[in-house]
Amino acid sequence: MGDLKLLYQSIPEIGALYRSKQLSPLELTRLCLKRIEELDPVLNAFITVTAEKALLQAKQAEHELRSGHDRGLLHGIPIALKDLIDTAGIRTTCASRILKDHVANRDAQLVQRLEVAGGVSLGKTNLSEFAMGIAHPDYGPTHNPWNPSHTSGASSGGSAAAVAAGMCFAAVGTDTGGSIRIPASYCGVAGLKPTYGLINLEGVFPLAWSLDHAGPLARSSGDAGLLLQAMTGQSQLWPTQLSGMHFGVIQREGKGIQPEVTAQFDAACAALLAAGAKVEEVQIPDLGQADTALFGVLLPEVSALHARWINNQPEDYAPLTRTQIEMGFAIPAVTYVRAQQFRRYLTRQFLSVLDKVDALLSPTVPWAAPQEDPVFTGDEGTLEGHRTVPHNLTGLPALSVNVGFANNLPVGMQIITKPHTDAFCLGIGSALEGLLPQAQLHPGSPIFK
Amino acid sequence: MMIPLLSAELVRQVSSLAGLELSLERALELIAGLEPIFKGDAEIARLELGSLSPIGTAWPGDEHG
Repeated sequence: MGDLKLLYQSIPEIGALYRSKQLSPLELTRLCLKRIEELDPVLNAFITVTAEKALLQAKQAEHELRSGHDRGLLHGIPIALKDLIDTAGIRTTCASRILKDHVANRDAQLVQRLEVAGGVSLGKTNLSEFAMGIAHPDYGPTHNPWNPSHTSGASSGGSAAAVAAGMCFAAVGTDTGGSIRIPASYCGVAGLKPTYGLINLEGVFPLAWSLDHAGPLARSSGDAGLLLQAMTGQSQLWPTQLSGMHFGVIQREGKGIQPEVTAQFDAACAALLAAGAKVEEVQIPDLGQADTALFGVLLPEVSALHARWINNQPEDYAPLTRTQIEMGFAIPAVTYVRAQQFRRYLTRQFLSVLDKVDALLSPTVPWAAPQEDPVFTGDEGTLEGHRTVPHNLTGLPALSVNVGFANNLPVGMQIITKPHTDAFCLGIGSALEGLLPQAQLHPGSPIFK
Repeated sequence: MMIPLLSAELVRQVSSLAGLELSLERALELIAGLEPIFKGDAEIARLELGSLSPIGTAWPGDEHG
């Protein structure tokens, strides 16, 4: 099997090669590191590559697998971590000047779990500064593997690009308003924002405590489920039959949506219908207030968190990050509390509809990857997050899977289910991916030789 | 609810009360981003959310929560 084909195998396929001794974790890790060396000068997906540690972990995995100590399907699999997740002895910068030299003395809890599962960490991936949507000039943006003149998305763009480019097999991202699902959509990979609270965030630098989620990005929903399983210790695989299922469509249309995105979304819905599912439009009352509610919660939480630094060293932030942090100081407490009330109100509206359908569907983002990330508190940024933000407010699991292409760039569909049905959500994603083999492609732009 | 008419001086004063000293120039820069938030908040205020609690898990009756 050629190197490139190997780098795009699924995690279970790699596991089978390991266990039949046709491939070793050390060989695959070396291949991934070579891939990073070749492509990262173009993509800028990694802030820190931990080659030495990865090779040690791979060697240990190889030894354990050969001696019969099998930790499960993630054992010996090369993965990556967004660079706001603490790793003992390795810097965690949050892609900021402020924390450029920060080195935690212990691993985040999710990192501890991934190590127990035998994952091989290749390094720390790029993100927008403090996950706020704007790349700090000291780090620069991550470019899209499908077309490097476009963005890979904010804020987990490094994780999404690394997975899409075949640098690693899965990566951890975080999502406060769409930061896993937007890059997943732009890069054509599966990205799950799990149920709020499912993944422990101890050792993950916050953006806004009450909205933050960590979650997996991978080239398929099945592989994302394996990473989630390792981070939660719970089974996250739920084989799902689409025939007889009932889907509700929300936010199909709206301001700024590209006709090509709607066309790909409709084609995926048609595939579900052809598979025997029922698909109909449904309404969520007062969904239009979700964007405001997110800012009403997020900005004051961000400002409280950054109060010391924004007072003492404001010039160390990227200019637009600074502006967004400053905005939160001018938002009254009543606005914050009312936005928090609205979240509970909105969740009840969603659950009422989810009592009548098995899952909700929407386009993930209204467009394919733009050339630059929009400012998330601006008009374009609000439109970009319009379909992802509601699920940070409610905490419901929401998965983006690739369903096609517009102008040679990926287009994502979002699947939303009830709280604590993450495995079911991934099962739907997996079944949908099976219906759309033409969407399960890998980047083929000229930089990939 | 009335939507407040924002001025740089008002933004500067409110931010100062919350612990951030801003110049009038910087306060002025924030107004364009803040106005849609206040406008949206006024819409949320019309929903009469009453005694709905703003704390805890967003969904009711969650044993995992």
